[in-house]
Amino acid sequence: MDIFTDGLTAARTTMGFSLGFHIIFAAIGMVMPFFMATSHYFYLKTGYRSYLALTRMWSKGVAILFATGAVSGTVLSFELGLLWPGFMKHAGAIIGMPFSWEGTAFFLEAIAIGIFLYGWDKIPGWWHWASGVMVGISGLASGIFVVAANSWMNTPAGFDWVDGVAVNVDPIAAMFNKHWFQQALHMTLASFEAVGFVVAAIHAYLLLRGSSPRLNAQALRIALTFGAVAALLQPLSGHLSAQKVAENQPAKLAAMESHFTTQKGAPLLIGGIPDEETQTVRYGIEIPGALSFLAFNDFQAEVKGLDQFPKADWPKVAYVHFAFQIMVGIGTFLALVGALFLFKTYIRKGHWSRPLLWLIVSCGSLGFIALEAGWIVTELGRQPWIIYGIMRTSEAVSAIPGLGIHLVIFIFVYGFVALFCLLLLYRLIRSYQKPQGTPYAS
Amino acid sequence: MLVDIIGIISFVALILYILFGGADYGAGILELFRFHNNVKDEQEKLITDSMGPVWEANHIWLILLIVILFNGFPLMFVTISNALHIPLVAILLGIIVRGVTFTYRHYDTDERLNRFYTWSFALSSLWTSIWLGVAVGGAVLGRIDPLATTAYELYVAPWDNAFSFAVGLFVSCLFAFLASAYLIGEAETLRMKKFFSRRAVASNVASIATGGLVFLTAHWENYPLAKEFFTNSHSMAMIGVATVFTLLLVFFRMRKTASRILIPGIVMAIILGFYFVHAPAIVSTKQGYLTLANTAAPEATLRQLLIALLVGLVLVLPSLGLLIWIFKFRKTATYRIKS
Repeated sequence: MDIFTDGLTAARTTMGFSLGFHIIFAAIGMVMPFFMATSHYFYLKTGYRSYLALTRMWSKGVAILFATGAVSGTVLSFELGLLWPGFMKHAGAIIGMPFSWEGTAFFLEAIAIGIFLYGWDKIPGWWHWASGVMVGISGLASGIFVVAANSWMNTPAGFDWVDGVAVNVDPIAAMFNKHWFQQALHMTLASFEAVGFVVAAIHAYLLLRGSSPRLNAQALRIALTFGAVAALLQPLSGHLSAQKVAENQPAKLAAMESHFTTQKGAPLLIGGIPDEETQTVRYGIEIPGALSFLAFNDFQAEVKGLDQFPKADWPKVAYVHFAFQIMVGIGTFLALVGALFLFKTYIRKGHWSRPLLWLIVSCGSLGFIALEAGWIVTELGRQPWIIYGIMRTSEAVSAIPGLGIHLVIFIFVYGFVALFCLLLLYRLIRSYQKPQGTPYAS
Repeated sequence: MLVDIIGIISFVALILYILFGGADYGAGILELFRFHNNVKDEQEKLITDSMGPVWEANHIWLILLIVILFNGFPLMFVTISNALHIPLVAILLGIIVRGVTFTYRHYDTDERLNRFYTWSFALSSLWTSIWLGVAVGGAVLGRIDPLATTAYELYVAPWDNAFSFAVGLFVSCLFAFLASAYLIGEAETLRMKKFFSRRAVASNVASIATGGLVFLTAHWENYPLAKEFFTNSHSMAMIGVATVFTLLLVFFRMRKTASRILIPGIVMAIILGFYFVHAPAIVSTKQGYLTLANTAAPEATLRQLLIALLVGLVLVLPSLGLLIWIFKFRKTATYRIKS
């Protein structure tokens, strides 16, 4: 197998796997505290016990997931050096700044979560609520800082590259690189969307089963309101991101769209199977001029194809293309479901019908699939570069033999962690359900 | 100048990680040694209750140190990451296991799973502290050789020696010693206080023994640690402090304040003792010493790092103070949860 013979493949797989695992917990850590604080707010306002139970249940979930995310995040901070010493030797000094701010934000989050989780009967209500909000704000901030560090790899800034050494380092310019805002916005919305839909799916399922209708209805309403609003805003943010990518990483855009030949009035490709060898796409649907319009606000604009780049600089077209299609497809679908939910809940103000609840249940993991697919587009689309246009991933990798073993150990350990975590969450949720006997009826 | 200030902040962060994070490791290690079944549950509950609120915060010091290292001193970070790859991976595995099992144990009500979590937590605490010590031993011994040609010399030889593992054992004993100090103060019953003070004595004796082992193995590995240590007047002064504190501890170990000043005091004296021998070097390689000064990032980076650290500390320290005040000092006026 490749991972046992080729250090680069092993290192990339390990990094991808560790990030893919951590992102789930990071997204939850950024978003769940806001759900929790909203429920807590309603409890303090109304005094309904069901909101209290919901807040407590969610806060325990946050604690479990935060603890898991904290360790998987620690792993990543070490892995930067363990797997990519060639990268960190140069990049550490340039992009350390967002990391040091992220460290601060994460520290505040860890303190706030301690106060919130253990402070139930120790501090007065609204102060306690404020500590919960602090968990959310600092979590969000730490996520944004880390994404800024990632976006620097896509649009490097704040240094001059002279003979393989970075000079004139400007950490502020590096942090506020060309993509930082679009990427941070897209990731923040994606987190709200993914977490909102998965939490909503769990509670919709419990509603359908007829357990604790009040608690689960309140939970569904809070979670999916956040999720649906994010899902409706996400296409706009995606459009902004695509325009930035078109401008700064044309090879990535070309791979996302399987756009092999440079042309004016480039069509938008939906679906299709790209073939790198023949540089053709089979079975795709083309919308004439749409890609030019989306990328440059002009139906006749020229969009660079992969033919403008040496083949050694191509990302893996098929992977990037499929991941992009999955992300956009799911994003569109969830925006529609979100709109339907908001319409039914806030305009019609009626009961949710059973089919709507089943629809929500079936959307459960889609948000996270889209989120992971989006990261695959970002990361694989940047390849073969680790610092876009400056340093190749193959130049950065550690030379240590046996990285494949490293990967296998981490898959094994993370697999166990995920298993125990799910088991614990399952039991936690179940302990808060009181069967009512009558299934939810619309 | 910039390097010095950042160095001082890092050193303080390191001390805080050792004192707080170290006590967390030690609590896990103490859970391994429970011969008296009748205190088992009480011990577990005490550890969970007293460590729970500060658990996550205690471990951020490590992340802070890593960030300072790779931002401000990338060359040192890369050298350590390469040469100590294997011990660092071992540390990470330990951190994963103990980080999740400590929290999962708190929230899981299933008894069999809880036993599994407790054992995993205890074993991984010992495992991680040993490997932390191995990494430190490997960093100071001087066998790191980035220019070596074989994988063994590059990635294994730096830490594959008796000295590094002796440091690992020594660190574990110190952590257990710190934990006992902390738990004596937390214990509410006389029985538990006595229990932990016996643990303090045992881990103190073990620390002295493994500390001797560190000097002995250093001698075997041709590292003149003892000579450097006992000819350095600052280090000797620290030994003096540690000895006086240990004697005082014999009489006052059951008192909360005394145990909480003396035991961390002893540990700090030991760290400072080694620091004076080794400073300003942090990592010794075959090609020479790596210090903060000779691995520092460009000035612009250091300036931003210092600003981030200062702003961070201004935000973090009061919050941390608030956290500790709420859970450790505030006489609880219990707030009723309205229903």
